[in-house]
Order: sequence, then C-alpha cells, then structure tokens
Amino acid sequence: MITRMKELRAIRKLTQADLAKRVNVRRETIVFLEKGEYNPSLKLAAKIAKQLESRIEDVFIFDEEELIE
Amino acid sequence: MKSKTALMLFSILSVSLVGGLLFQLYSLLSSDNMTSAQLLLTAATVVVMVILIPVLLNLRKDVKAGIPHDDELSKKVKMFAAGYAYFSSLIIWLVLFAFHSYLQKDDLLMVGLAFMILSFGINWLFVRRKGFQ
Repeated sequence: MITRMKELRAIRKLTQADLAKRVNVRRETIVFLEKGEYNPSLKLAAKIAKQLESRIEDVFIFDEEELIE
Repeated sequence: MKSKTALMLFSILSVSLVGGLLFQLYSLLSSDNMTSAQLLLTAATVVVMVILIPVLLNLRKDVKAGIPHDDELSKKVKMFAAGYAYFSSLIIWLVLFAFHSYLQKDDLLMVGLAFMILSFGINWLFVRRKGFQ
C-alpha cells in the first residue's frame, strides 16, 4: 500500500501531531501510517481522508496485484 | 478507557507496586547480612522505578495535551503481543515443569509469572517495532 498522507498533510500545512489530534489517535500511529507499516481501519482511513480533504482512494493507494491476491 | 482514568489506575498500581517492593526490601534489609535475595529485590525496585517514572510522566503529558493513551494501533499491538506472549508462556511453563524437581513451588510460580510478564514486554516491543502490513 502506498500512502499520500505526508504529501497531502504538507499541502494543508498540518503537522503529524495536528493530524493525530484531529483524528483522535497517537502521533506514532500517523508515523506508522505514513511509513506504510500499518493498514488503518476503514473508519480511521475515512477520518484521515476527511481531514486531508481528499477521498480515501486518493490517500491510500493499493497496487492492483495487492487487490487481486 | 479514558486517559484520565488510565492515568489514575496506573498511578495507583505503580504506587502499590513500588510500595510493596520497598516494604519487602525494608523487611529484608533489617536482617544483618546482605543476601542475594536482597540484592535482587533492590535491583528489581530500582528497575521498576526507572521504568515507571517516565511512563507515568508521558501518560500525564498525553492527558494534558488531550492525546488518547490507547488508540486503534496501540490496541492492536497489545492484542498481537498478548497472543505471542500466550504461546511463549506455554513453552516457558513446560520448560519450568521439566525442572520442577530442582525448584521449590513458590520459586517455580514466581519465575513463571516473571517470564510471562517479560515475554509480554518483549513481544510488545517486537510487534510495535515491526508494524502491521
């Protein structure tokens, strides 16, 4: 999974801590998500996408192969 | 569990644990010569205090900043760590029972419980570092 969280967060001038507070998670969770080391729940993905004013599929991008497996 | 409740519970548990250790240490130290048990308990008390103080301070900082102490990822990490710790504990107990003739019942239980806690801690660190794909 590729995530565009860092890029979208930078556009909106949000720090990791700001985003974490807005979606009610710890900052470490945002770090894990940005590194692609954690797949969020649908609810958290939706919350993050909303805060980044984007659609879920624009924030979290899956390879076609990953979806077929 | 809310962060404030967690902080309160954690503080009470920490004070009870450190208090208990200090009480045990005091009763052991009142005897004349220093035994290995006294040294072990002193080391345990110091280690527990060194670990607990930063954890408590961090938790307090999080509560003040309004950051949740437990979120989706930390719950998942705990769940996975508990699962791994369960299997490692089974092995540890089997090994300990194999050596039961060399140990007294009390020591066996203490060592087993200590290994269970240690195994959870190690697994927690491992899972936290590894992440989830």
